[in-house]
Amino acid sequence: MSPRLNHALVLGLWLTVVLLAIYSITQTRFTADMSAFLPASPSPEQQLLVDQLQQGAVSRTFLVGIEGGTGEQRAEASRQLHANLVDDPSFAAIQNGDRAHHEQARQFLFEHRYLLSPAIDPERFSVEGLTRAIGESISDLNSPLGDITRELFPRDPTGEMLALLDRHDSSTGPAGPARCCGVWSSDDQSTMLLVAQASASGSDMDGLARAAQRIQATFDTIRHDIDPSLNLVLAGSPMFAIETRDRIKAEVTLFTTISVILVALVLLLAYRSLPVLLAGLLPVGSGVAVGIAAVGLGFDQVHGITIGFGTALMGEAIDYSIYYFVQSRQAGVNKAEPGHQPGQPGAGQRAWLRDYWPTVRLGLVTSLIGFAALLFSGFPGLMQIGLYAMTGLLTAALVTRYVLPILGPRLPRGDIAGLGRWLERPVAGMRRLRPVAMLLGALAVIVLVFQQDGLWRDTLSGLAPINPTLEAADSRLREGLGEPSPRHLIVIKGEDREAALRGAERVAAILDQQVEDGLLAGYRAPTETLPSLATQRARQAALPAGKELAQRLDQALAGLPVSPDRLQGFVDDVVVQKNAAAIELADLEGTPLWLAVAGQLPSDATGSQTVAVVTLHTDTAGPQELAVLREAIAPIESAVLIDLLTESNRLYARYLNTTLTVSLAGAAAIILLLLLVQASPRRTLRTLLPITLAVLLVVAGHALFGGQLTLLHLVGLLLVAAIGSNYALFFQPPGDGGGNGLDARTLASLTLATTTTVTAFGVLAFSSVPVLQAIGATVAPGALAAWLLAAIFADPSTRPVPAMKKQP
Amino acid sequence: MTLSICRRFAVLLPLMLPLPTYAMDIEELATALADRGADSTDYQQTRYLGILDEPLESSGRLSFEPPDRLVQAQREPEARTLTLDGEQLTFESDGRRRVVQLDDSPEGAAFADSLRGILNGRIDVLREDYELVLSERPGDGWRLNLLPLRDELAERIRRIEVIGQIEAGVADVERLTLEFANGDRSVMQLGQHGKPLQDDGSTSP
Repeated sequence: MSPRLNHALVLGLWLTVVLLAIYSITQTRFTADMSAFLPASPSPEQQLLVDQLQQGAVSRTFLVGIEGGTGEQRAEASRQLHANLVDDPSFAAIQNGDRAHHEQARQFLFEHRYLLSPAIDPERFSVEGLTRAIGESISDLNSPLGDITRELFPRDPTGEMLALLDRHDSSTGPAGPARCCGVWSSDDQSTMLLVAQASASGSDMDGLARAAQRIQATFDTIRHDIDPSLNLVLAGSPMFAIETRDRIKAEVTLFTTISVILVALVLLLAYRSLPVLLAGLLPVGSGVAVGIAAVGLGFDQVHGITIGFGTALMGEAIDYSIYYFVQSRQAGVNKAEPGHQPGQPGAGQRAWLRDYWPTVRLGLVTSLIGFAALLFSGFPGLMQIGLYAMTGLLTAALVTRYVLPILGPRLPRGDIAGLGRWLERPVAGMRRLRPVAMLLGALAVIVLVFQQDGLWRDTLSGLAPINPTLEAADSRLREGLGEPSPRHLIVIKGEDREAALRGAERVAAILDQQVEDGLLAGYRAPTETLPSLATQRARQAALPAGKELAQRLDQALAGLPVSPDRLQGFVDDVVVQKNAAAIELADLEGTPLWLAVAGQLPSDATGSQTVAVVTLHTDTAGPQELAVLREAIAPIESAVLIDLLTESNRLYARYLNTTLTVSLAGAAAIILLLLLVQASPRRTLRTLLPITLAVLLVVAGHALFGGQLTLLHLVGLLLVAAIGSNYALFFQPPGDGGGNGLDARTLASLTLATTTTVTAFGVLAFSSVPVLQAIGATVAPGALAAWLLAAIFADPSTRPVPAMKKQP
Repeated sequence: MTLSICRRFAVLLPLMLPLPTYAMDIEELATALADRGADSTDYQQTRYLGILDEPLESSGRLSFEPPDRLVQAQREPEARTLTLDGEQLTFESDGRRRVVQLDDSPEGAAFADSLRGILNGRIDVLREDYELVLSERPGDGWRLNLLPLRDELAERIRRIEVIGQIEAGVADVERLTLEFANGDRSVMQLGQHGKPLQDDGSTSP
């Protein structure tokens, strides 16, 4: 096969694969779905946590505040905002506490009081029960509250409505939001308050962002009509998520742009050729395309985070093209190549493939082994990252190996061997620093031994950038709404809604006891407004028929100052409600009660099961109280108490530990590989020493000056190890006699690769987003340290000497 | 010297002279009511409810702290406490607390709210919801009728009548009657400023 045909085949194959990959990507579903980050076999708590984050009310409820203007203007804006959004399909529910809605809710409760009141049982409607209940109501009439209960009494002499309102109040906190001019307001009345629940799921960032924009845009037109000095405050969990995403997006764009420009400038300076710069992107570009396609084929959904982390891990691929373009330029010029004139096209390629490729290949294999460990983590999210980085890196290496040599000879470029020659002497001199490096390494070990306990932060705190303004607004609105930051939930699973509701009723009965004992401040259960069918039927069965009730009333009222004929309205209501259809979820739609109930009955999240959620008011509850609670609900098997914060942290900690473990396993596999390939423990030690020291120094540096390490630092360290192994291998070329020493051009290429890496990641270290900052602050110093240490520990027998003399 | 005498005279004047019988205006009454400051008296309340065969009697102590805290501590027949503090209405019985925002139940809280408006002399607040009609009674007596302005309020409350005396420039409230639209009536008899409650039996107007 002629070289030309061969080239055409290679290029054709490459283009086909890349095009297929791009086509495959267009068919791939991208997701921000958190479930990808669940372990493959999640605990029930973890599954419920993620379901809650996706479907639960918390993650889709916006808190809205209206400030500025006069009280009346704010109230008018609140009413108009409500009126505009109440029928908007973007929102499942919106509430502003308008008295009219309050009245509407009360009306609903009143009309269904005998289905809803927990006091309804056969005993309540016996003669004695009626006497007692009506007697109590009369004594309420003769109390300072009498002017309020006076109106209810004729139709509700047993006081069910008051009991319902009491329970309703206890579930929304003791007072509920304050009110001003007919709508919810903060205590000082300076802010009108609304609650809006988006229809979009908690993981649908775009949907939530659209809902937020909808609120803002609607408010803007309202403000225009009422008073321009009015001001909108948006908070709630979805705002944090949107804010975080937007901020990360903005910073990624900004810092990536700066990085790309700086790296491009460095490379342009080195190559003095734009085409070469662009050709240098082919390996990494192909790697990204094939990597995403591979994950898409393997997992059917590609998570956004996978691409972010995975591409960072593929930073090594940029180095490949640098190695090729710098090293292959007239490589072999120093060798006596029979049949080739120095500088003849093709000579450099072949020499590079022969002398340098094996080193790149070994570096590639070590990286692949390191990332392969992620495949065994058991977390689909980490597995995706591993698969993506591996296929991407492999593709990049293959493109460097087979495609660049075809293009390379046609691309004239600058030679930076001069840089290498200029560096040779100082680099050789760096050997003297070995004792210093060893001492620093020892110090790092001591630091780490002393700080080993707090070295890794196994909680999520500080991982996401929190905007203090938003946080302040959120706690202000929450306080006004009397809505504690939700943290503890009891989730009750059932085969269908009825089963879940029945479970929730049993839980509520236990919680009532806890509230009475003072262990719990309160709770909110969907069954307060939507009891199970069974309970509603039982209550209806407990109501006597009209005639029977009239007879019992006659006896019951004998000793009371009220005559039965005046309570005909009561008898009528009981008859109507006894025969009424049971309340269903759909009946609540459009009423102000919908928000509270629908959010507690998230639509089917896991398929066959339905859940009911009970929100606990646990502001004052400590771990002991929670343990008691957990114990108390233990008899109900379908109920699980979830601490959202602890569970999130636990999930994250498990991630961190798993990644640490698989990383260590990967490191062990790499050591075995090097021992096998290099066939010399001493060489392997020399290769590993700089990498190990670099990682130790970076970790110790962070422990001393940067605070605790997170999962993102660990990802950064993986990259440091991958890049560092290449440096060490190049400084430590194969000793089989056929290899080259570290010539000026290799030294120059390594220096260029280090410069680009340190530049690109160093920029990230200045980001205010913790995710980016962590990776930047790990990789930049790590890459620099790896280069320096590789130089320091370079084998003297292969240290760069102008004469290129070396020992076999 | 002369100035000082004049000043003393001005202060003593209201005490020395009987109040002139000119038509009292509401602002004066408001000032005289506001001058009472913090106060605490016994009360007796009688409710005449159409649905019940007999009136309901209760009694207790009413305390007011300017500017806007009113506590109705019922002692008989059962201990119950209603506190109106700012915009929040708190009801306590047998260790249970119920909290209602005034705004939630303006009709139900009309009694306490208007009583507070009288006791702190906030005629301006009362005027938002009621037409005020002031008339004199024999002696230094006054009678203030509050007629609801808004339909929602008028649907439930026919009128509120407050009767009192002015003594030494300070107004006393003797009786507050709440008449509901359906004919129900609630009458609260208050003890005089610092004096025990005199039960003169004149509970109905």
